Amino acid sequence: MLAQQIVSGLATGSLYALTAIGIVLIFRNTRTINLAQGDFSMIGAFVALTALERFRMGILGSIVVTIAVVTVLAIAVERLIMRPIEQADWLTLFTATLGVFYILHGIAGWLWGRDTKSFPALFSSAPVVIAGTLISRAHLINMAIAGVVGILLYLFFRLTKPGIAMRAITEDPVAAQLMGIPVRSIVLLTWAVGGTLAAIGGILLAPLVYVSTQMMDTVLVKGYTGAVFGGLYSLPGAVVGSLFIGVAENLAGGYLGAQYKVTIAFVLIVLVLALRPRGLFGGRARREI
Amino acid sequence: MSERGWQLIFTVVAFVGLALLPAVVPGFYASLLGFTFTYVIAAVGVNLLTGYTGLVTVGHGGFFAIGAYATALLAKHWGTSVMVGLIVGPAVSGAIGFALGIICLRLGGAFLAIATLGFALTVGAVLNNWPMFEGRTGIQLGQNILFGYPFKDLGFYYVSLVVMGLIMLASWSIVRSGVGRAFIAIRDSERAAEAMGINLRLYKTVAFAISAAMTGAGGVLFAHHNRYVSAETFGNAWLSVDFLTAVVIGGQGSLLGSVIGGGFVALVPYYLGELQDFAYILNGAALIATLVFAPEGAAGLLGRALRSVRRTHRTVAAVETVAVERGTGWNR
Amino acid sequence: MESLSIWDVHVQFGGVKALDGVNVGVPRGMIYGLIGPNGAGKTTLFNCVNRFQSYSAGTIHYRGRNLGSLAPHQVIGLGIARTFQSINLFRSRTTLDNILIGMHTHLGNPIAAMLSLPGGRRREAAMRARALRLAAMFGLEEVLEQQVVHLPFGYQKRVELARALAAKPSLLLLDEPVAGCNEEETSELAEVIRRINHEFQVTVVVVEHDMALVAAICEEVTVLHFGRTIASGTPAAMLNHPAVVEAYLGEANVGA
Repeated sequence: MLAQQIVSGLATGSLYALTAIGIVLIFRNTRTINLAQGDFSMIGAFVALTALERFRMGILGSIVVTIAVVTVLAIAVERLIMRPIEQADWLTLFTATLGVFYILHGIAGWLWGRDTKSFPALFSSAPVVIAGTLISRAHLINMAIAGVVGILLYLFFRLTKPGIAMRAITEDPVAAQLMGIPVRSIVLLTWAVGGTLAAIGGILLAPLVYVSTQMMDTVLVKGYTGAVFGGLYSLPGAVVGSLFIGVAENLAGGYLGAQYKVTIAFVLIVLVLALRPRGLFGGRARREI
Repeated sequence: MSERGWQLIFTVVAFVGLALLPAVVPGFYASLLGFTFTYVIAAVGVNLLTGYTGLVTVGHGGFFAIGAYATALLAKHWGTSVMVGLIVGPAVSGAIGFALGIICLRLGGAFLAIATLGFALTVGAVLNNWPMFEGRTGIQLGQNILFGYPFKDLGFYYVSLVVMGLIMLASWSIVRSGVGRAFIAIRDSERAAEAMGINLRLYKTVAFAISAAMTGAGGVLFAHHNRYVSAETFGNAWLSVDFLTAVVIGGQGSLLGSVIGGGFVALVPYYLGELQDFAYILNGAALIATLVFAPEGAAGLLGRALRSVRRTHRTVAAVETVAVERGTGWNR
Repeated sequence: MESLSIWDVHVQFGGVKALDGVNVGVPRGMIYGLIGPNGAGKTTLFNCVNRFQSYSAGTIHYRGRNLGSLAPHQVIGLGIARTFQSINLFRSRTTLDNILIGMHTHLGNPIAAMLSLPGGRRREAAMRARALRLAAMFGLEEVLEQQVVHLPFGYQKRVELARALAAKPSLLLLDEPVAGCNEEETSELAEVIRRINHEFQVTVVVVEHDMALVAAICEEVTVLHFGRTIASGTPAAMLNHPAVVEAYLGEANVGA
């Protein structure tokens, strides 16, 4: 029983991690606290649903279309809204993403309506027996996908030129620019990657939290809680934090009562920030806040 | 006439106008305005913390809710009057605001914003899930009472007008004083402020407390306006986000900004009614437009416009004087 | 008689020793100079006195009081005021407001101030009157109501000084007061500093690179290099001191 709760907690946590990674990437490279990260996923979920049910595109086609649409959306947000204010202080950047958050909520409500829809389960939840406990197959696949994404990102940062450039910018944007790294293109790429991650997260979460304009509102905060574990800076820290949140809320819900499941993430975010503002993992001096 | 003088005249005229308003417009406007006043009050509270002290909060919806539920519970179980609510509500939210201020002392900028968001959502989760708050079913308040007399829409209008006036007066007085200067000093340069002897921890927590109390008062009135509170309205971050939007659009560090911003955020959903989605889009667009084109907010724009009018006025007057002395112009 | 005594202060940043056993003794009423090449630790030392920086060893006493137990905002209560290396005014505020904030410790009862009670109003009026006199002394009457961020550089420097004096300090720490000033501005400021020292009986410690200023106004100096005191005495003696010359020349060679 405990093991099951922990595993299912790890599974949801790994989905939160997709949001958390997107948040950290964008923050590291652009000093922007992106409040719209969750809504990118939300739009992704709606697009996938429409592709599946309206256009009958089949799973693979829907996934491709969703990733494409959301990535383009993220790029549009960067170009049209964030670029004009790229030099502004963090509050302006943050409030701009708040504006995007409002707008995306409005557009989604207008295009798809404000009621909650169900999303077909992509993977069967038939239980699989591992080490003596029953674990839902869907959970395992979710974790596997998140894991693959994590590995791909790792390789991207280590081996590809844009990835290395991104790390350089994170370390020292001025030096990176002086060395000829096209900072603007990298920023664009960062948002694009954030959008892709959000799209994947949205598709995977849709069966679990149902599709609605507010589906990602609490997930966003959980993503932030996870991100804050890494001081908004460390990707491994964000992943660990998100997994922790997933497990913690499951255990809280199971042992303390369903009402605590929701509360725990929010209490944790305040506590982590209050006690260890640099996160449990991020020890590096951050450029500005 | 100095700029201060004009501001004073304008404010007095505005309040007198508002006091006389119900006599000339249909009663339903009074109700709408009364509702708007609660948002303005909340915005004044947020502005004190964010606009003046520089501590960004995306969590004041939580204090609004605390004020609202405090008075709702009191009114439902003990039939208390608005007066009691207006004392207990701000006291409770002020105390919790003080505590939150202490918890968040070491947090700067963006991290503080995230923490306050976490706070608002914690309050929301508690309201949604703990039985005593009746979650989505909500709590019905009985008739509104003030000093033993029941009152309805018109009475509520005047009560909220008076409370709004008092809170604006308080904010104005605080900002003009040495305490307000200390708040602004903290925003502009914490280092220099400390060198001048300003105790950062004390002033930040006090700013939190006062700001939370003010917004809590708005919440109390909001509850009595609708005579109903439920987790539907208070159990999420929308109010918090709306209040921050109000302050940014209206103008940070400005009472007029709180009025304009609070009014905008309160009335847009009302006038767009059915089209809630467009209300969201409009809010978002207005927010982004403000940030890109007019970061000082609507109040800042107005201020600039007025000052250039006065300068033109003075220039024109100067030219005319010169023209008369030289015997040119109209008097030839 | 020493008013400020800094004894064996050590500050470490990671692997770097910013201050390595610094000793400085500032006699009361003197204009004292703290010089040395870039990175010698001068501003770090100021930050220690101000309590912005904690030190791992050593003591700092002012008029017999040990500063080590104080929080940064309590330092001015002992009479120690400072200016900053890059101008650190309250940008959005007017000249008058900046000076008034400098007087924060004279605010009296904050509640009376916030609620505009009669006592608070009287206090505010007294503070304003004093601020106006201070502004007049620094030739700032014309720009009282202007936002400091719009003032020319020279005026900003004056506002910083006026603000530092607002709390009636007995010790003034000036961190590179003439950085960015031309010759004329420098000699003006030198005169102002001398007046402050003489008329208000304020002990002044100046961190400076500009040797002209140091030679002009400092009665004694201490030279810092790599966080250590390498010499102290009169400016004239320092200019010829072998260790000092080497420290400065050494730096010049590295740059060459």
